[in-house]
Amino acid sequence: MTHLTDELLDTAADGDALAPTDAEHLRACAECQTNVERLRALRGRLAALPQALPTDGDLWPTVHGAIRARRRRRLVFTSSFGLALAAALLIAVVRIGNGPGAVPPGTETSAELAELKALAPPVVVEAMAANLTIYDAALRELEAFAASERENADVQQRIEELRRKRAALLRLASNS
Amino acid sequence: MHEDRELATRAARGDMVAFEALYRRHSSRVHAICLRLTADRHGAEEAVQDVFVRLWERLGSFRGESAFSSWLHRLAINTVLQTMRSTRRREARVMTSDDGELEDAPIRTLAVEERIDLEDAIARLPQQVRTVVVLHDIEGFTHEEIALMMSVPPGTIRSQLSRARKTLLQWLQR
Repeated sequence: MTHLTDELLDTAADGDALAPTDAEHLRACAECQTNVERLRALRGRLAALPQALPTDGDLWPTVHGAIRARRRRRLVFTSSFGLALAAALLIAVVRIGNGPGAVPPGTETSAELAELKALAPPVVVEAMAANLTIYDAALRELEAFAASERENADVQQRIEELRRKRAALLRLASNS
Repeated sequence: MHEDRELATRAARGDMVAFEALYRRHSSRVHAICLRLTADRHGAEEAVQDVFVRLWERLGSFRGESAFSSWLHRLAINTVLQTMRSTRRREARVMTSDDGELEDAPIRTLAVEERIDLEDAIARLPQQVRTVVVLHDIEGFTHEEIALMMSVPPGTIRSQLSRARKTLLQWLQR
């Protein structure tokens, strides 16, 4: 006689439906019935294990410390980001005042700069090239950070804010 | 529970007292999940810390559609599974093993005189089959839910579960 496979015994022990021929075998076979009962008893023991197991010591101070450390890192990151933004705006002002010498733009800004060339004087275009490069680098950095912090609404908000400021600066340059 | 939801809302606004209350209410349950999945006391405690740090960061995304405890238990399971996957990938790089992702260590046989209780037996199972039996038979997830969590077909989960139960029965009969 061919007995039920282990997986079929499990299926029966879990209370799931067997194919008619397998169900018929189970009804007739004492050995398979015993195996199903043993599996059911095991399931019962597993389900009855304690749901909660306390830790050996109190982990709260470590958890609290880790959260505080992350908050501090985030604060440093946010402050650095603010400084970078301030520096970018300062460069814009200085470059517009001082004339040529800007950093070459990244490829993503080329189209915007091409449009700007038709609207603004060369000194403004040059300063904008430098500033858009800085904005884009800051955005890339923030987006990489956001990828590892998907649920962090604060970072997303800062990305949006930076995009808005970048667009505003472009508009300002276009009207200069 | 209503109290959990209220604490979660306060903690999401930065209230550390409310967050500590959540920790006190749920840490033993989270520890049980982590300990059974990792089968390692030290690893389980690290996992508990990771889970609660993640919880702090993600509280804002708790919408209250499910019970807070179910949401937290899922977070705990995903945290442990993610750590296990990273460890396996790191070990695979170091050992340049040919084993596939789902290959698992062979189940060892126990000496006749070696008597073990159920928790010990679960801890001695190879990682993959242990994960499946913990999630299915202790935590009550379905084959399909576990398949999604572990990114493997449900058929694989069924055979891993069968392997786990058979081994547990053999060990516990001694």
